[in-house]
Amino acid sequence: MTSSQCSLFLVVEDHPEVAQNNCDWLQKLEPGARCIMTSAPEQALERLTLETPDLIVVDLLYGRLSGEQSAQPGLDLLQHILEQYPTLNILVYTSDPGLLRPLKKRDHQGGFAVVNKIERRERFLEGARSALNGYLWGPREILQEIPLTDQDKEVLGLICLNCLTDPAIADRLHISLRAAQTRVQRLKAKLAPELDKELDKHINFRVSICMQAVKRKLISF
Amino acid sequence: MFRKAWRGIVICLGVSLNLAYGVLLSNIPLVKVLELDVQDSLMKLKHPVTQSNQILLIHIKPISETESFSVGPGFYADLVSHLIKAETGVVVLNFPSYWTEATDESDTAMRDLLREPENQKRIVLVARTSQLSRTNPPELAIYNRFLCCDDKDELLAPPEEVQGFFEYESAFRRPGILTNPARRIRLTGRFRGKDNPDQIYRIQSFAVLADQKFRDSLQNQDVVSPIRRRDLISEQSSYRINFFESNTPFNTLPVESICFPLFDSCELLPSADRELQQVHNKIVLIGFSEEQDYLYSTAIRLASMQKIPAVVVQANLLANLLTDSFYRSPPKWLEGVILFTGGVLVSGLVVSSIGKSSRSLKQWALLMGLVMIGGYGGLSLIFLWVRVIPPLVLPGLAWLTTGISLAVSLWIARLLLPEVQGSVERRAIILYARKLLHRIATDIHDGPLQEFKIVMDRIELLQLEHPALETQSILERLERIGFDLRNQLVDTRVIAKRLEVTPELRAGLDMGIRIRLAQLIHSAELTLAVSQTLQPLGEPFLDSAWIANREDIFNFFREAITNVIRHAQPPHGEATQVIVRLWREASQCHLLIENDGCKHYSTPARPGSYGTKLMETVASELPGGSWERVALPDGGMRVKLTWTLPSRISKLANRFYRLRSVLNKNPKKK
Repeated sequence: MTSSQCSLFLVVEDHPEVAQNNCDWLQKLEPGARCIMTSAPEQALERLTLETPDLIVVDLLYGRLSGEQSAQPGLDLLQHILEQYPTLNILVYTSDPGLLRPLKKRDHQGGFAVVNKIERRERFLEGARSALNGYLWGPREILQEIPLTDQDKEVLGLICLNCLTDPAIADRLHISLRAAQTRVQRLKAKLAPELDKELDKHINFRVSICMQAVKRKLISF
Repeated sequence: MFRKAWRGIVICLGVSLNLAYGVLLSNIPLVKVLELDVQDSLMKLKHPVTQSNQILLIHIKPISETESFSVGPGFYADLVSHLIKAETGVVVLNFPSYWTEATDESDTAMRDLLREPENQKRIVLVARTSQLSRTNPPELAIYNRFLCCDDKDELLAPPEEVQGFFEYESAFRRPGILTNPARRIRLTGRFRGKDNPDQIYRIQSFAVLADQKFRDSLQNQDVVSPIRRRDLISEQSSYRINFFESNTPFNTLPVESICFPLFDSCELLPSADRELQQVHNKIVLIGFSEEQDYLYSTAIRLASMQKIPAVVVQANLLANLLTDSFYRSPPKWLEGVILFTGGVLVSGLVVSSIGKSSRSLKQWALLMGLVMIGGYGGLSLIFLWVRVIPPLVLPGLAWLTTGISLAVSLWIARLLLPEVQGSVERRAIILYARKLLHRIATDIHDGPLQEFKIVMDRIELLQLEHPALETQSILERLERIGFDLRNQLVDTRVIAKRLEVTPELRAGLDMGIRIRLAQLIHSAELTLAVSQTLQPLGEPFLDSAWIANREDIFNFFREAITNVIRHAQPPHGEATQVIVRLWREASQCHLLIENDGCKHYSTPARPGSYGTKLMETVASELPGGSWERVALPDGGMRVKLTWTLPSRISKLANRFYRLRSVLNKNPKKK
């Protein structure tokens, strides 16, 4: 992360006005934050070598000289970040989140959020916030396709088989409570993302997670 | 229309075809036989010769087909002595082909005969060889043992003054050989003797030697051999024999009419004097009659498949020299030039016929055919005039087949040209349409959609700055419009991508489905157990309507299998397997996709959803098309599409299907 107290955001977007708006809205999260704009994935890669931002906002579709649009440059950039910057918080801001499907490595230690460009800015802010918190956040159909990591499976066992609470998980895994909560959230995002809004209202999401895990034959009682 | 470049290409194609046909035809035995026959006939036509009265044959019969002959060197020495006494011009002696080395003392009689210089002037010993080679001197059955030796232990005479070579291939040992070397005269050659392989002899053809000795015996120095007159004596030269007739053009005497043949002597018969008068001042060739096949036969086969004794071939050879009726074979390079030039002309003529009406084309073809025949006929006459026998059948056939092949190829090309042109144009239009669709999608994405987003941003900013403003409903509506726009863009891109025949489908619908399933399994998108039974439908691969329909059917399949993955496969559903079947019954074809646990499709599909709409559209546009989606009692879902293949095609497909069934069943029986 940046050495200064102010956060640094990196926006990768080929439309200058949209890029500026992205920065403007991000600065609503943290008014003093710096926001750097790059119009192409290659420039973003160069920028990443200079300093690591707190959040990178990546568009997927870029125009080619042939007149076609391609998601490949955006996917290549993401792939590179997932491999080289495993803790960097990412917000994918695209008009077609389905384009993420060909991405090979979708497991990421840092925050990872996906927001549809057509949605309102409140979703953009929500996604940016989740990513900055290290959460996994986005459309259900995308999150569900992300495979569980060994870490996820370990937490799943502690929740469903040992019935541990977040503090107990933190204690068992010798991590902070916040880290434990992040891990539980990521697991929830993968297994029961539709409960997001109902989380604290009607359904115990832990039960829901365990039911999904049983259905998928990830655990058995 | 037919550009110059294309003319060049067609002519090159014609020349290549011509050369290929030339090589091919030159290896066909029938063509070789025809060529020799025609050339023989031509030589007779040009130079009708009468038989040479200066030649006489004395035939010896072998005892049996397998046993060796009953005559030895002593017999030959006796016979030749009688002939020389009867003032024979020259005696040409063919010994049995198995004589290679001295076997017994009876060689002495022959040596005694050859010891006399006068006899040496009248005797020619024929040394046989298989074929002359320009690089490696072949082995020659040389009879130096009959010339050995005088008081100084040297040969009685130089071998080349008594012995002449004769090239031949035995028809008995190589029955298939047609281009027998005996059909040609080579005048001199270099040989390795069988008695001493290190010794190289430069020896003349027996015919040249006999001709020379015969003219010397007549003591008429003004009569110069035609070969010498033309100064043609060269190892490189090769001359064709003009065969007089078959077996009986020459005067012939059986040896039994002169003497009683014994192994080492030839006792004159009382009536021999009358017979010996015939040999006066003649060239007498002594050899075997060879009426039957036997191991040591030296008989030779003509192009007409007629077999004649070697001694008759030799008589023809000599008669050619005496009557000046031999011909030269053109060198190989000249034959190649003739073939190539004719190929260029034929190709040019075929190309120049392009664009002519069918009526004038017939006249043109007739005229050009006559011009070609007349042209090469005239050239052949010139060749014959200078005593070169031209190849006729081979180039003629090569040119004819080249002309026909080119004409047929061009005719087919003319038939296919509009189709090919149309196909290329359609392809170009598709490519252009795809490009346009991509551009439209990009333009919308980069322009209006981004502007749309910016407008939404501004409204949201306004909302932030002025919370009293009621913008929620506007934003919600804009959001819906945005999603609709985005979906349209995605569809446009998908359509642009699909504006071509799916590569996997080129091998057939069954293969396309099989490959698609394999891809899904490989990428782990499809994790269910797959049971697939996919039969080839016997598709009309050249029917563009079917190819378009096949794309739709494949899209139907993709939609159905995507539904299974998205709705029936864990974690979305509880299915454990998917069944995919493709089969045909008469003209009806069926595609079935069935799963055993589909959460979302346990009730009939939502009407009007995109997937349902696509499936309905595909089914309605297929000939005899219909589809059904059935919720199975145990929680699964079955989707089935049925359509009809055109009846004419169906018949062919049925045959193929039956044949395939038979072929598939047979291995099981084994």
